[in-house]
Amino acid sequence: MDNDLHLTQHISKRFNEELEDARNQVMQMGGLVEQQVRNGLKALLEADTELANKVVDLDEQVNQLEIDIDENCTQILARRQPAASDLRLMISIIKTITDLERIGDEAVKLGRNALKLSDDGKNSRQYVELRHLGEHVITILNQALTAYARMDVEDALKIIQSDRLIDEEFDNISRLLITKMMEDPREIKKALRISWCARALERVGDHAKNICEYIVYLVKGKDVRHTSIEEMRRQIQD
Amino acid sequence: MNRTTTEKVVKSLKQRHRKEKLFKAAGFASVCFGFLLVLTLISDIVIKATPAFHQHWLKLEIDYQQEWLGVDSLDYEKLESADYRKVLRRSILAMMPEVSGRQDKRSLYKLVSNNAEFTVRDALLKSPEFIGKKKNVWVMLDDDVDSYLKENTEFSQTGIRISEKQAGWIEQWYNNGLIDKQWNTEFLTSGDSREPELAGVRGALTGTMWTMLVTLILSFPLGVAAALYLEEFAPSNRFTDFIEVNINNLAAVPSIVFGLLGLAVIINLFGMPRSTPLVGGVVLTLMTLPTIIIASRASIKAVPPSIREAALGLGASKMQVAFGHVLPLAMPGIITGTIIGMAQALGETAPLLMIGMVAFIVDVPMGVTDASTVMPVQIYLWADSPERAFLAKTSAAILVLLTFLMMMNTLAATLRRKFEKRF
Amino acid sequence: MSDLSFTENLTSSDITIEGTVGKVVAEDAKMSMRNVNVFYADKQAIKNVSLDLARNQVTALIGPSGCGKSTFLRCLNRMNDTIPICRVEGELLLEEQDIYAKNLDPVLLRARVGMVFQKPNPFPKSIYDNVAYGPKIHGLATNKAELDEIVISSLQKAGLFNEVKDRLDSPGTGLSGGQQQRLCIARTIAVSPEVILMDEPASALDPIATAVIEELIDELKEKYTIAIVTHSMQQAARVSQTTAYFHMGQLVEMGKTEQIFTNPVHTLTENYITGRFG
Repeated sequence: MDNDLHLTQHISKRFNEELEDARNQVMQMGGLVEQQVRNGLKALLEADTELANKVVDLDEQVNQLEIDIDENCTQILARRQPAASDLRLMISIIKTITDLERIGDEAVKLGRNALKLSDDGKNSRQYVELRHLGEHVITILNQALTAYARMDVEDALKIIQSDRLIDEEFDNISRLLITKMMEDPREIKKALRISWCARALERVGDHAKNICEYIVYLVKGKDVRHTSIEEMRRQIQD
Repeated sequence: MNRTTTEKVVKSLKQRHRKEKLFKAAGFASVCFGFLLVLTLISDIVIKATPAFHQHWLKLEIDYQQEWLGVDSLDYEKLESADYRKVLRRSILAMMPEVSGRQDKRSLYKLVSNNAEFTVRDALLKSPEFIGKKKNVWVMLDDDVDSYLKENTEFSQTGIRISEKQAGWIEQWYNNGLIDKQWNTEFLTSGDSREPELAGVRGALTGTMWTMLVTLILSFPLGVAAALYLEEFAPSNRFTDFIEVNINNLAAVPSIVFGLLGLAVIINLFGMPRSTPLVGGVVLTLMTLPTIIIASRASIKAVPPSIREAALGLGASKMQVAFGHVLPLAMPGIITGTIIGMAQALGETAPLLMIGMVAFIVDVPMGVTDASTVMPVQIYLWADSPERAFLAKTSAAILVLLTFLMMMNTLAATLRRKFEKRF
Repeated sequence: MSDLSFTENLTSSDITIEGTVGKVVAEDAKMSMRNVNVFYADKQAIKNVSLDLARNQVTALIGPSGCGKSTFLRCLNRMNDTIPICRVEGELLLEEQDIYAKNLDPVLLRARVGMVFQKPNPFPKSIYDNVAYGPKIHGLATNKAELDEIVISSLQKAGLFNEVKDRLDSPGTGLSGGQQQRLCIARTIAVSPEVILMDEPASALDPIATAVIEELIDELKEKYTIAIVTHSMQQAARVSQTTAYFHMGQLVEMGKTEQIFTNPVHTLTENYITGRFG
């Protein structure tokens, strides 16, 4: 797989390096954010306050990466005036890092809720559904980042499609929590927290889907946001 | 630059500067040498020519006796054809009563110029009331006397073609204040003559002007038109290549060949009058044309193509481009080429010899069909003459020719400056 | 391995051009060229190019040096006629009229299709005479007042009038490079052409003068159909509505400018636009 070839074919070698750097930074940020979500979920499920604190603290690093990459992209836009695929790469990077930063924020939410929940004492039984949803979301995020690294449109489309499953899962958890709250009003506070966590995970899935849409834009030059999956496939076929 | 490079450059620097200085010095020396040569040439000509611009005159008391003149009435026609030679000779004798004997008298008469009697006549015709009276008239001295006076300051020695006796008489006149040195206006106002003291360049100069005029009128439009056609209109094929080669060859043909052509074709075939500026001009045109065409073509080629494109892009026709843009911009170069061609023609002798412009012609030509000669031929003729005074005349004629050339070039330079425009 | 442009590692000689990618036909074509071939003696400079110039639009022709874009442009007002070894084949129509027809005078064609050149080339005449030249040779003005009118309005349209109104009699060659180029544009407009061809009109100018010219081109397209050859891709992106990419005498890709510069279809176009090894 020689995906990086298109970055190294410019007449200007310095330009090659700049694009390469920007992309590597995105991959680095992606890796960091994935780790954050993973840790956030783990802290939540295992009521690990130490890990939860770490997640909250590390968000600073995610934010700093976003600023750095933005600055790099501004420089490239101003000095290189990229066109065509280079331009699309720049746009997709700028957009991707916004989503990655949001994912980072969702991970922090998981961490904060983990801290709050651990104050109420351990009760991992309620988190079974959450664990399932969380693992699914993390898988999707990981796949999205891999697809981004490979610029694989097919994988991206698959991920976009599978986002529906996450939504369904989230609905299930919501229903379950509502039932729980009706059964026992004392559980409302805790259930709401869990709902927020589920919400955060669902948002991570949405952001992962956005990243996949940027992949399609980057590779195919087609803007497939806010369209149905059938419409996307049709556009890409053109 | 690292140290070794610096060192190497410093090492070679000296030698490079030395070479440069050497070349500069050599160039300067050659320029000086050339300048010196020209200076020598010009000063030599000027020194040799100086005597020709002066002429010695003798004051004679002419006794216009009616009897000597052999006229009975004072009619203008009678006076015109009267015997002034007798009057002149008797007057000279009256001034020099001690001279006797046929031989001596004849050598005395020889001291004044052949045209002295005409001077005497003109003086009387101008004021007929002097008939029967005496009047002072300045008459020209013979060229031998003139040369003798110009060359010697001591009267004791005899000169070339001047005997001891003659020298004595001249001395006598000189001491009596009868001989005067005056500006020689004859040189510029009269035509050629067998007598050096009477010979002038006006005939040749006018002939040159007529010939040049004919050459210019024929060669300039023809040359420019040919160049324009070849550069702007002609398709590039074997035929135009052939023409181009021929034009280049024509420029290298010895000029005498054109003379032969003129003789064979223009005079013998077309029956144009020989020895005329018209034929001379046509022959010189043949010679000048290649120069003008080649220079004009180079100049037309040098007009930036962007100007042509601009005009064509606006919808100008080829003709409008050629005459509205290319020609004006090429004009300075064309004029330069024309000057070079005309200067060549001006100094040309050989082809004109062939068409008879070498004939001895006294009259000043009044048109292009009058027989005439031209300056270089005149110079050649005088240089060939045995009379001593022609030596100075030759140099003087060369000076006149050079002045004419300079005037022509000045005129062309002025025109050129007028046409020159910034691109 | 989903997409050519990201995965192929080919040099241009490996990539074959099979016809033109994109849309060459315009709905409202001012000029329409079909299967144009141009030969310099035996060498083919343009190979089977078909494209339309849309009315009141700017069409940019881009491509590497020697790709034939200038040659093609010069076919559109028969400037190539001046080169004896140059031969043009194919159908070239201006408003349905064959511009290479035997009965069509190139002088008339050039009055309808004007041209602005790479290097500003004003005549060595006054500013006024430069602009008045075209109307004069075509007899567009019957008297001096009319000619004045044409000259002034042309200079105004070219955005030059205010800068030169006090010195119409001074030589056109004394203006700055940008002003000279606008003078050349004014000179072209003065003939009231329908189409204006521009052969790298800003390549010899500084960025400010270039911007002024580009702004002018944008205004001119309201009245004229414009084709512009340019080496500057940014310029093509800024001024044109349609872009055509030439490569080795062939039209590789043609399409809307926004599409060509964000998402070109052909690899060669992509390589050229992004500055890659072709």
